[in-house]
Amino acid sequence: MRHILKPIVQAYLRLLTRIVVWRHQPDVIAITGITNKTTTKNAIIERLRQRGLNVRWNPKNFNTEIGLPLAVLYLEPADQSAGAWLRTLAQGTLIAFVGRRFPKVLVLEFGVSDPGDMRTLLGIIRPRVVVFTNVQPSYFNPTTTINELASELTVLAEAVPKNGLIVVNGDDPYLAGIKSRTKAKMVTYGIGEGADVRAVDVTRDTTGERWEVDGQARRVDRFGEHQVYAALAAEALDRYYSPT
Amino acid sequence: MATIGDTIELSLIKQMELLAARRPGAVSLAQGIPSFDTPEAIKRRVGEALARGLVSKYSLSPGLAELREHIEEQLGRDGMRYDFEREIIVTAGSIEAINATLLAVLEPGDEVVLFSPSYTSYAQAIALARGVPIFVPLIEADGWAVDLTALRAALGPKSRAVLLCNPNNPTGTILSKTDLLAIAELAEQRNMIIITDEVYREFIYDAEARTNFFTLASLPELRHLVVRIYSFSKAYAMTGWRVGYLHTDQSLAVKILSVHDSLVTCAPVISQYAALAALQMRDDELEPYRTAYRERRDLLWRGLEQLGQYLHSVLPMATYFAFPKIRVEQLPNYAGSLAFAKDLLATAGLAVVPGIAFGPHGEDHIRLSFGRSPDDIIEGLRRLAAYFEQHTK
Repeated sequence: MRHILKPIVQAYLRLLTRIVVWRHQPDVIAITGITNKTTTKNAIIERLRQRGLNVRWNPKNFNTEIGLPLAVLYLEPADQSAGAWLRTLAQGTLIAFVGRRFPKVLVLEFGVSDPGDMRTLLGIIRPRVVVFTNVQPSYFNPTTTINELASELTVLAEAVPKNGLIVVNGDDPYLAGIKSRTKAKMVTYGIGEGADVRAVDVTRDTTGERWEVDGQARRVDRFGEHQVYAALAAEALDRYYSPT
Repeated sequence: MATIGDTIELSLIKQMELLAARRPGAVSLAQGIPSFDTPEAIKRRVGEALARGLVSKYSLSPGLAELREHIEEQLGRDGMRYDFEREIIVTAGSIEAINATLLAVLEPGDEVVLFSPSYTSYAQAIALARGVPIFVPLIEADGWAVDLTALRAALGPKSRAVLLCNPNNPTGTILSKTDLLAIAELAEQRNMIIITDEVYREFIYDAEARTNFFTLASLPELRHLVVRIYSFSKAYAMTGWRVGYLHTDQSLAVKILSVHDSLVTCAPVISQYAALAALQMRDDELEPYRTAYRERRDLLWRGLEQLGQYLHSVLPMATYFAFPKIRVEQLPNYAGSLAFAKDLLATAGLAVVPGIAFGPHGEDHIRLSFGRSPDDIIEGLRRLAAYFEQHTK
């Protein structure tokens, strides 16, 4: 029974998502990559909120065929009962057709683990801005090669419109081919030479990471190089992003 | 020179469980095993991972990146800031985390402070790493607070680490922030590692105590000295999955990772998917379990109160254990908690853990688990009452 209902629920949620996006026309920012999506997303949300923008985002694990629409529609996942799902879908229908409030910007994690995942997500919602974190071997899905994962991300780059923006980790060799696959403006961030937004003098003290961008001191009270990359991605986006 | 196999014994908890398994009709309130099955949400996600062929190969040695990212996020919410790439290691349960840490930091003959009473397997883990456990008492009259005078006196040139359980198994108490900071000060002065085992973090029954729970792992200035250990076993009824994690500063994590890799290569990948699903559960999905444990604690507590003439009990604030003291003057043939526990099992068919299993200062106590089913708790109390009626003056 569950196997029959699941595709129906997915299709209906996809339809509701398209309707609500068509009605409200939010600016959609996608964060994709193998790891560091959530930290990057959080850093970006903080920047956008500092600008006074009304932002909605998907929780960490809401990046699948069902989770992504639920996040866009601002719905909680139902438990396994058919009744609970019917209530959720009814609530989603109301939001999609008659709901008035909707945020100006959606910041969404796009997670991929298998070939074809990205096209499925793009069938639900298409971003105008994409931030690429990395294509590290995560062993998260040992049946998919790193090249296949990199190809999946390229699909997203190709979907970004000409008036869009791509923010990419310039230190990741697997993301080097993105530039040739998009007509959108592209900016890079990283620690290595050549990045548009580049961190230098990265150090750690007892309270977190420190670095400089263009001679200006930056800090984050957390630990790990990925925190630096997340902050750099947010700074790059903040520097070049203009909402539609 | 004796081998490790010659010197380490099976813990008294497991010995009691084995004895109970051999006695027909025995009821066990001994080992800390939740009576619940793993939540459906976790089993469903594991089934999906299994069906997709995701679990048949090793993960990276520190664990699935996505799981470690979730752990980093969870820790951040709890005020602890650690780098998932270099400072979080997913382990085969908390005991592997403890063993890997001790093996990584101890030289043969190094001393490790253990509070007494505390979890029985710590002493074996220290012996496995060729270390020496040094027992420092907790003061029962002060709610099992740390005897700081005894702690200072116990430290010497070979002191290398302090291993503490907080909330504490078996006493069901929480170490105060004052005691923890005093321990930290001593550890800093002597460059000692503090290993803090917090597997019962989710089992704090008082809302205020839960909110105010303090961990040394939240202090950035101590991160180079503190190794915090957590397990999914207790909070998510996953004892059989054998999955937990540790986190510490990268300077220590890199050493522990090498040992972890040598011991197990990686935590079981199927269990890592279970852990990932556990972290994605909503808080309201866990609330029924907390409620059930609180009800079971109250059930056991009411029963122990009625046995007040034989046992001195304190309401457990945390964990799923009660640790009453036997009023030994009531038992003419009393010959220590181990003999008591064996006799209780043999004559009344109830397995408990003798207090001596948790260190010298646990003597004359017994540990009863309320992780077991209400039926087991009720029957266990009935058998305990019957035993006392037959064996007291």
